[in-house]
Amino acid sequence: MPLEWTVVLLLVPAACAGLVEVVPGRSAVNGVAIAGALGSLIAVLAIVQQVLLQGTAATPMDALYVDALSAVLLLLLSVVGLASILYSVDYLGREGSPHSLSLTQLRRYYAFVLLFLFTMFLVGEANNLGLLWIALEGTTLVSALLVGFYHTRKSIEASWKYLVLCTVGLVFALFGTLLLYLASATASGSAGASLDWTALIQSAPRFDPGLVRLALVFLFVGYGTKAGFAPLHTWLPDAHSEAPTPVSALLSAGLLKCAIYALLRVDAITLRMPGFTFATWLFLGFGVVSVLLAALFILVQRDLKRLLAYHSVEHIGIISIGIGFGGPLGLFGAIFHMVNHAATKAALFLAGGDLAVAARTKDLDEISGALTAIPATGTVLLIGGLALAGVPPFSIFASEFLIVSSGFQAGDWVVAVILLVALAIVFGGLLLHLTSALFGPKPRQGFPGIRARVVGTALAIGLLLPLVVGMGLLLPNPFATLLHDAVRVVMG
Amino acid sequence: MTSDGLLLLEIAASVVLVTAWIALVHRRLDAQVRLYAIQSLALAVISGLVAYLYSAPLLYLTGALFAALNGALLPWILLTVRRELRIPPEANMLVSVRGSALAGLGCLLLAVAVVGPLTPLAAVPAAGLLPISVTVVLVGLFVTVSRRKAFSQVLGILVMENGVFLAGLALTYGLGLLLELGIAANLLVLAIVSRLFLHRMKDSFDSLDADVLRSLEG
Repeated sequence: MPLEWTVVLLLVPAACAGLVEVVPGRSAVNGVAIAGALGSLIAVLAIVQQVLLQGTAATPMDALYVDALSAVLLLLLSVVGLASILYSVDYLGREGSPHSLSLTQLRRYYAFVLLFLFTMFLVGEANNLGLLWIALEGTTLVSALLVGFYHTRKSIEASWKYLVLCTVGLVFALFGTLLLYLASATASGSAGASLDWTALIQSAPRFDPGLVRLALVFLFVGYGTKAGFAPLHTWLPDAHSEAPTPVSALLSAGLLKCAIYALLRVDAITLRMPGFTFATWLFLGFGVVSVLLAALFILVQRDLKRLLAYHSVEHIGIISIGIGFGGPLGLFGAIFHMVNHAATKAALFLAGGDLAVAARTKDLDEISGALTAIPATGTVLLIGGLALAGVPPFSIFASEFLIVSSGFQAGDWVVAVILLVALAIVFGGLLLHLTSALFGPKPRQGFPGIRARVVGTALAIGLLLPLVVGMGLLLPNPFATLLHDAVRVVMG
Repeated sequence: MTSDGLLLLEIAASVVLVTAWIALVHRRLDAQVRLYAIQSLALAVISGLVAYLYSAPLLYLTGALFAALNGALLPWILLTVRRELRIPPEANMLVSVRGSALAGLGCLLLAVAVVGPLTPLAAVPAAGLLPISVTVVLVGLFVTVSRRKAFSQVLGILVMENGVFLAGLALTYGLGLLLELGIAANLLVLAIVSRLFLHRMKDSFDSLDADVLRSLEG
């Protein structure tokens, strides 16, 4: 029997989550965690190769199924996962590190992070709407424990809010899933009813529009809460800012994309229903509200991590608008943007964590002169900040440009103009915040918490930064093919 | 015999609806948990009846699992947590009893209004249960947002999940054993994680009103 990489991808993080509990000593624990993330990345690369060659990677039981769309998600998850764990070694894992954990806590931390990765990989691999739901609810349960990991009052508050809001949302999503199942049952006779993608896509043209509309309302409220669509986003800034920094990166770069991925899967189904445009309107509506609301909050935000969190709301909105514009261009832009935002935001959270440790504060008003005080981190923040604001030639500019063009091409002038205005506001807001923190006079005593050079951090950011910069300039051929194939998965 | 079965189905469905409604207006937390247990057992009975009436034998197993978890284990966990943490026995309601009763009625009307116009439902034999299930989901949501105690919020979510379970029975004869098992496992983990957080909240805030959780804004 050939090696099933789709199964390996689930086994590796699960096994390592068990192993970190038993291996002796700090360095072994750190090592196992890194091995888990690295092993996952290798499995994903093997899966991607299989997808590029054969179109899909499925398992004999058909419970797991990976096509180009899921391969893109798995790729971004595994890269961000590895970066986050590498960073954790410096940040939490070593004795004397700024947020050093006791060995017992460290074991637990890595076990949760690896299980979190496991549930997110399962989201990408599930061939079944029900299994997808189970996996997404699993991500909530594990990541709530990570958000509340520090046991401070604020982190408990943030994690409780996160747990309750997202679980309520997901109950709605389960209800929507049931309605979709009913649509499939009435379209194909109860014998052919199924929640498998492959089957749903086949029978989608015969679905009852009224039923699917109701299903979509529940699915969008449910998965939209998890994705961070405004006005359902209220858990997001709290969770992102109170979680340990490497977890913030995972939440923003990985988890939100998992929820968007679920909605993309639903979109793929409704796009096959002739004349059905309700999903398009939902994507555009939630996208516009998210982008505008986030832009306002970005202007007034002073806490570094909350600022980045609101940027996540903004970029989720941009992705949603891209999906709403649709067409090959809009979808390509949206899926490409998922990857770009993941890489950029993860790099920024990690570098931002470094800055907060060095300056001993997250309040941007109290930080100045970071570029001279900590040049390496400062430069990463500068590049990441410019990239996040949509400045060329970085990758986010490329995907935003595609999305806006697709809007004009599709004749959605109003939404495209709103998007441009919001992008301008965000650009101004971000530069305002960053210039004072990065430039400006260096504090006389320097930053109090500067650490000696840290290998894990450098590796983590070194993994992400080339993606932030490079993919705006040159899209490697296999990856471009993968993105094009992913668009075809959605559009048919 | 079939008509007897249908009658039983209607009785059990009424129990589900009525328990949701009483839990909404009842002030005692323990009573609310017991009502939740009764509701879950009624759902397990419905599961068995649907299995019998529509020859879907797997639903016997689903029903048994549901009775064990939602009818016994989860209520037991909740009651234990309340005692462990010495949570005061009275629910702390943001909305008065009378307001809650009206809200429950509103949930029912809304559910009928939303579900009524769906044409394909005519083809589904047990579709009559759907308005009840939507009502239960909405009542659960109302409990989650209108109670100050974190404990009640968990209970509200569990009631919502009961509503979804009923919808699953009504529309699809369940999602299949494997998925039901997965959902059940998630519920159990949810209960365990919530218990953990309630303990932490008690330790840090010495209060379990969600009101103390107001420091993060903007």
